[in-house]
Amino acid sequence: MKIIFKNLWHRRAQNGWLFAELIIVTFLAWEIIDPVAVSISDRNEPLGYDADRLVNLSFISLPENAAEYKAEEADSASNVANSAKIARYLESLPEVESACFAGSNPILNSSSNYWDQLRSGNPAVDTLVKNIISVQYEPDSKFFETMGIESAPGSPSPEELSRLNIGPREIIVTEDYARLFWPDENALGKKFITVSRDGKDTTYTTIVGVVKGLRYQSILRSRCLIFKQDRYFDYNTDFDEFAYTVRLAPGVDPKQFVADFGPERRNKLSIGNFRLNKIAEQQALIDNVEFTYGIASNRKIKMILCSFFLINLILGTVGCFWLQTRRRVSETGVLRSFGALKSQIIKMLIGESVVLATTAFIIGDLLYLQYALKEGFDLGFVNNMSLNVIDNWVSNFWEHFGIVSLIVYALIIICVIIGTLLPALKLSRINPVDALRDE
Amino acid sequence: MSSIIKLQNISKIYQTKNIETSALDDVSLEIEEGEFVSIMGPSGCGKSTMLNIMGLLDKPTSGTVEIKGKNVDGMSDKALARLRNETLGFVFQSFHLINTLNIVDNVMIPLVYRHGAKDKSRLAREALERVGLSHRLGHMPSQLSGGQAQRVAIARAIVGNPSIILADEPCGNLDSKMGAEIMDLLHHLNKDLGKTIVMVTHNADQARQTDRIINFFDGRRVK
Repeated sequence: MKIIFKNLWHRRAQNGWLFAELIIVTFLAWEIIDPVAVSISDRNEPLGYDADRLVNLSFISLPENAAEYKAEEADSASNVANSAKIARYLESLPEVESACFAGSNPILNSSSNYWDQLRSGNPAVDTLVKNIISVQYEPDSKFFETMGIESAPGSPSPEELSRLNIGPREIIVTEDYARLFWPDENALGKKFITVSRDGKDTTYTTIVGVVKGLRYQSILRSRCLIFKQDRYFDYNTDFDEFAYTVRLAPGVDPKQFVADFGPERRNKLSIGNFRLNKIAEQQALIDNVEFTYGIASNRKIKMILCSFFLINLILGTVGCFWLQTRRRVSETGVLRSFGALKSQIIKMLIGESVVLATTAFIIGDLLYLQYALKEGFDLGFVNNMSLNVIDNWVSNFWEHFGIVSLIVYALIIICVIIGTLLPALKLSRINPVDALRDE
Repeated sequence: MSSIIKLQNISKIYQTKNIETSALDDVSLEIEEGEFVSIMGPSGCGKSTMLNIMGLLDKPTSGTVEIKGKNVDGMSDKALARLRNETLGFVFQSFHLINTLNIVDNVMIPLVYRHGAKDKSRLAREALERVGLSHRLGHMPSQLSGGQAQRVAIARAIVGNPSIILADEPCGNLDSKMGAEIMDLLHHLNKDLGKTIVMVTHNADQARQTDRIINFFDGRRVK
């Protein structure tokens, strides 16, 4: 180790430019890797509900001028009855474990969600105002168990939650959201002070169920949601599309289920004025949301940029260290003459590179920190629905700094080791006699 | 006295794509412990190749090499490196000091690669004192004259207390005065410290000062 530091110190003039380059590389690496790390983290963050075996069937209602349109089945009561027939048919399919009416697909589609501001009755956090995404689900629809939403400890089971006939002043919340207001208590039975959007009406809302945190959309980080009941056909008098979500039985491949959904099944689902329009895996819908918001293509661009940067970093580092080590052929001949092993030569060269890169990284990292203190880190996709309730490492400044620093450091060290290893291996293989001839 | 270096039927052939060059052709020789031997001959006669083989820096195409009674044939790289480190010290014509290290660090190199070596800095300073450079300890190689640089190289060769010193034209890059000083130093190491020295030289005067002269011509040993 001592010889590594001595070599670096005595070669400080030669290593100066390489050192400066590594500082710049650290800074640039931060700028490029940070968004990729955030994007990958967001992508891999569990959704909080089991989307793997979900398939979404979307239905349309025939227009009045359609040949098959039945005017006598166009009223709300007929719609509810026909919708129930669809549910029964879907649940009768051998591949289906359960089915739920999904209205306009509440977990994915923002159109049926709105804002509330909830205050806690808890004096300790009474000043908190938290905007929240509200998901409306159909009563008696097996919503929670079909979507694969899990109950929090102490709360009714998903099946019980689906069966609960909750009133307008009762809600179900995710435990992440409840924790913001009652950090150390079970939130079941607690009351929110609900402030309407215009701020005029204040009412108390009781928590009747707590579920484990889930993400409303895969592109959003927040796991804070509230659930309210709403009868779709009551408030959508002029609807033209609704959906059913089915949970497939274990072992059934959703792709295969979708592919095998033939004309016979489609005909069976032509009930009243309803016709099956599209059938898709939940994952395909999730991907579609990402595509719609430009997240998927943005992520791809970031990944390509990052790969390009890393390839250049490796090639650049190999080139720099190659030139550096090329000047040391004669030195390695001397070291070998006096008993150094090939492996010791490689270790020494790699050690020098790692120490140099680590020192440069620390400086570059601290420089980026100054920049980040002013400009902030990359927060990924943030819209007003995720404000106030972002609660993972990405939004925690120091945690974010630590994690991305480690990633940047690991990548730089890997590149530097690869960059040094190739010329070091070549150098160590030169016969000492030939090495000593090199001037 | 016993043989400290024993070479038997050594041949060295350099093979390139179309050309085969014989550098040494069936050479045998023995060096006794405590001897100061010089190897002479015209350029390209195989003197340095012989010295490199003795120094375990190169392997012969055929023949056997024994150092201090140990046959080095088939020894692993690690064992050869250890033998070089503990038994052999090298002095090169062009000094081969590492320009980025100061002279104490240069001298310390053999100790850095010796397992369990202690007091490296003290031993390096003592070696430099022995070659008369105690006043130059903090200097860099570029701040030294040729004679001083070769003294540093000799200090580096002796710091690990090896039994054998192999010197490849140690005075070749020096003027006659400095060359004489280096020869005095080598004689001192031989007589007073009992080091076995094998020196390749072109200089007949310097060769005559040694115990024995081995002449080479065209890859063979001649009388």
